[in-house]
Amino acid sequence: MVNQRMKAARQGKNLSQAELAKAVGVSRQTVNMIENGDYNPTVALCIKICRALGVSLNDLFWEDEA
Amino acid sequence: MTSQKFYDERINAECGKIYQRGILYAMVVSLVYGIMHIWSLTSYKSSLITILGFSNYYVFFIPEATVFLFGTVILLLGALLHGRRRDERDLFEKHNYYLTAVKVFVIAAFIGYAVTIPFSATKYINNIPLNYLAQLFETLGVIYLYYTFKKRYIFFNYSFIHERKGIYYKRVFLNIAKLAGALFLGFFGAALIDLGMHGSFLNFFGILYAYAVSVLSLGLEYLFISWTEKLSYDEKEHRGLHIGTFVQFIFLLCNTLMAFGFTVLVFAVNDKNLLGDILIEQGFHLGEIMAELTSIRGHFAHESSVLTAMVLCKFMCQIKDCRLGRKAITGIVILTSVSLLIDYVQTFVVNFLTSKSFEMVISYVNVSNVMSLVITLINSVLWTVLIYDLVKTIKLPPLLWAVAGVRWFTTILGAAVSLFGHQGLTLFYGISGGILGFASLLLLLILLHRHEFPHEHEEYV
Repeated sequence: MVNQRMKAARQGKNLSQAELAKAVGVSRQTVNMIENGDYNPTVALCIKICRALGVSLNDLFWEDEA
Repeated sequence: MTSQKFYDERINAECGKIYQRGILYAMVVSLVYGIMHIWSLTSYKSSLITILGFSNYYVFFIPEATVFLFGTVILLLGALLHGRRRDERDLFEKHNYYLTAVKVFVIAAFIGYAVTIPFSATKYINNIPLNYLAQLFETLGVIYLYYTFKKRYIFFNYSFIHERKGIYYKRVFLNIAKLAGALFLGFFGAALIDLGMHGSFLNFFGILYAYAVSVLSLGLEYLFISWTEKLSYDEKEHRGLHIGTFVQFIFLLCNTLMAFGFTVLVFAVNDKNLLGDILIEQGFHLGEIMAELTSIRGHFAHESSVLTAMVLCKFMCQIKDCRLGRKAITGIVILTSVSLLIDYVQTFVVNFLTSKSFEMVISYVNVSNVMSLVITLINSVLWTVLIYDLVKTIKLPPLLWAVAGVRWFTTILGAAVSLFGHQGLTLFYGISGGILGFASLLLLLILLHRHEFPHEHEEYV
C-alpha cells in the first residue's frame, strides 16, 4: 500500500528521497520502495524515519481503519 | 539534519540471501565441473604421470575441492549459528554473516587456484595452467549477481554510490586494491613454493603474471559495472533507456561487430580463393591461424552472451509492469548461464571421448548440435514472449517484432545448417546471421531509447 503520509511528511520538510535516505542511513531506493508500498520496514527503521521527519509512528505508519 | 551511518536493512537482507544461495550454486557448479574434470583426466592418467613425474594428479582438483570445502563449511556454520530464527535481530546477524562469508569464499577460490600452480607447472610445461573454473565463476557470478541485484532494485556499491564522483571512484579503486592485496598473499606464496620445488625463475614470474592477469580481469569488470551503475544512479531525468543500460548496449554492439568481423576472417582464411592460398604461400600454418581466430571469435561471442544478459537484467528495472516480459528475461538469463556452463564443460567431454574413439566424438558433436539448436529455439521463444509483452503492456512500436523475426530466421537457418551441413549454407548462415544479428540489436536499441517508459516513482528534487 502506497504510503502517501510519509511522502507528504518528507515533502513538508523539503527533503528529497536521497536526503531522507542519507539522514536515516539507508539507500534512496529503499525510501522510494517504502513510499510506494513495495517494502515493509522494520520497527527500528520506522522509528528512524519518524525521528528524521519529526513525526510520530502513528502519523506515518498506522493504518486507518477503512 | 545529521546523517546516520549507512545500514540498509532491506539491502542487507536481500544481499545475505543472494550470497547464501550464490555460495550454494557455486558449490554445485564446482561439483559438476570437478566430476567432469576427473572423468576426462582418467583417460590421460598414464600420460600425466609421465609428464608430471608423480602419480598424484589429483592436485588438478584443488580449485574445485577448495570451493566445495569452503562452501560446505560456510553453509554448515551458517546453519548452526543462525539456523534457528527467533526474531528480526537474528535475521540481521544471519545476513551480516553471509555478507562477510562471501568475501572469504571468493578469496579462497582464487587462492585454491594459486596453490595448484606449483604442482602442475613443472619444468616440462611452460604455460601457466588456465583456471577455467575461476573464469567460469567470474562469468556466471557476474550474471547471477547482476540479475539478482537488478531484480531487487539494488545498485552495486550501494553503500557509497550516493557519494560524489571523486569519492565514489576513489572507493572503487580502493576495493580493487583490497582485492589485489588479498590475492597477492596466495599467489606470491605459490610462486615461492614453485621456486623452491623447481628452481625456475621463469615459473616464478609466470605465476606473478597469472596474478596480475586475474586482478586486471576482475578489476576491469568491476570498474565497468561501477561506472555504468554510477551513470544510472546520477541520472536525474531520462527518456528511453537508463544511461547505464545505453552504455552497456553500445559495448554489446561493438562486441557483436568484433565477433562478426572474426567470423568473416575465419571464412576468408578457410577459403583458398580468398586468403587461404596467400597465407600458405607466405609460409603460415593455416591450422594454427584458424585455431587462434576461432578462439578469439569464441571469446567475443562469449562476451556478447554475458553483455546481453547484463543489458536485459538492467532493463528489467524499467519494465516493472511487464510481468511476462520480466519472466522471459529470467528465462533468457538462466538459459545463457546453462549454455555457458555447457561450453566450459564440453572441453572435458571431447577430451575424454577423443581418447576412446573417433565415432564417439562424432556422436557427441551431433548430440551437441541438437542441444545447441534446442537452446536457440527456447531462446527465440523467450525473446518472442518478451517482445509481445513490451508491445502489449507498455506500447512499444510493433516494429519491434522485426527483432523476433530475425531471431527465428537465424534459428531456422541454423537448424538447416545442422541438418544439411552444406558449406555454402554454412557461409550464408555465418554472414547473414552476423549482419542481421547486429542490425536487430541496433533496431532494438533505437526503439527502446526512443520510448518514454512509465515513470519509475523516483524523485530527485
